[in-house]
Amino acid sequence: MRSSYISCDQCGSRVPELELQPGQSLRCGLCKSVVKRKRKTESFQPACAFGMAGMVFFALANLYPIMNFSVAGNTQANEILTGVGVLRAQGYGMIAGLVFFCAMLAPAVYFTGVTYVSLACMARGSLPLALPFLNLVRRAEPWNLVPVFAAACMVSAVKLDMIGVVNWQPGIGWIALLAVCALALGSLFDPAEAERRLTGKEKLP
Amino acid sequence: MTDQTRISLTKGLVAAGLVLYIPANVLPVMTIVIAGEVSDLTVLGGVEEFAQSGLMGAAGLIFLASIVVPFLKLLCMCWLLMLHGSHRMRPHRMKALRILHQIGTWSMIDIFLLSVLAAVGQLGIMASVVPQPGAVFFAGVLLCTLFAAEIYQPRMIWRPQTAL
Repeated sequence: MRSSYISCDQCGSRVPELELQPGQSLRCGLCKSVVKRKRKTESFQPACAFGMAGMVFFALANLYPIMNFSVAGNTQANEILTGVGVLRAQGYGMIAGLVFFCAMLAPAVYFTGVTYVSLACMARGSLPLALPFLNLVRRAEPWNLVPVFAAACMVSAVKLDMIGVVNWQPGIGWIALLAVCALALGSLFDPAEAERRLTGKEKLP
Repeated sequence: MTDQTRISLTKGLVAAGLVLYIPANVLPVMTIVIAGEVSDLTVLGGVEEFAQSGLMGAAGLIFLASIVVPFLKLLCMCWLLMLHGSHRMRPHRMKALRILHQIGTWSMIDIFLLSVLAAVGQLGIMASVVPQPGAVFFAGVLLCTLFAAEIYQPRMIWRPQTAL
């Protein structure tokens, strides 16, 4: 049943809004992007769970060292922030800032924002400032590079193993779990669906 | 921000990225000292070192993420800008922009690698890792390509051309 139009966020064209059955999706007639999707199960609850888990893993990943590196009896441990501090101390503040933003600040904002917005969506938008938080999530998402950081840790261990001895520390486990949460949220959390829920444009069951 | 401003900014960022790509690949990104022996590493040098050690997986990953992806991103953005406003291959351009968003951030692996190596490489003459100016140029290329792909929005592919 047609009732209104929704705007395709990819090409901007107006698409007649149809009532969807669970599992169905509505595509834009022009660019073929999905403009609306009705999931078989509510996605905000698992998104909230992954967001909360991400916040906990984020804290742990920053508390525990990632690895110990030893050469001829000398050992050096590192955390995520250690690299930022060293780069800054060596006069490479721009690179330190980039690492800090992509591996720490953006993930922190993303996981906190997704948790809050998911809670607001489950509460039918009754939490304050949910839409500004959603905008923050949208801006932080492309810069949340935890999975790339996890891959870089693996490659650096391979490199360091050529020079000395690498002993993994608990931090790498938390980083790996954080990367899993980030990847899961990438497919679970739909900002367009959240916006429709928060602005009351979604037909409630 | 108007579409015209977005196009101008994207053009500027792509041009800057192309210029920065040369020093980013020619200049060393880090210096590694192992037992007093100093070696400067460029991005490609790091790939070669992995390959010579038989670590083809790591070599392939760094080669793809740090050399191929930024170059392809710059080429792809040039292609999108050249065809901007035309009706040609709109679905393909849309798909290309989507892929750019998905794979583009993996180029950051080299910067994160430098950060981790610099963090543990603080063992003085035994083993130390010091960033070099090439890393700044490389970060510049990444930022130019990331911002260019963010500023050039998919909806601009479908809009008729305005005076540029």
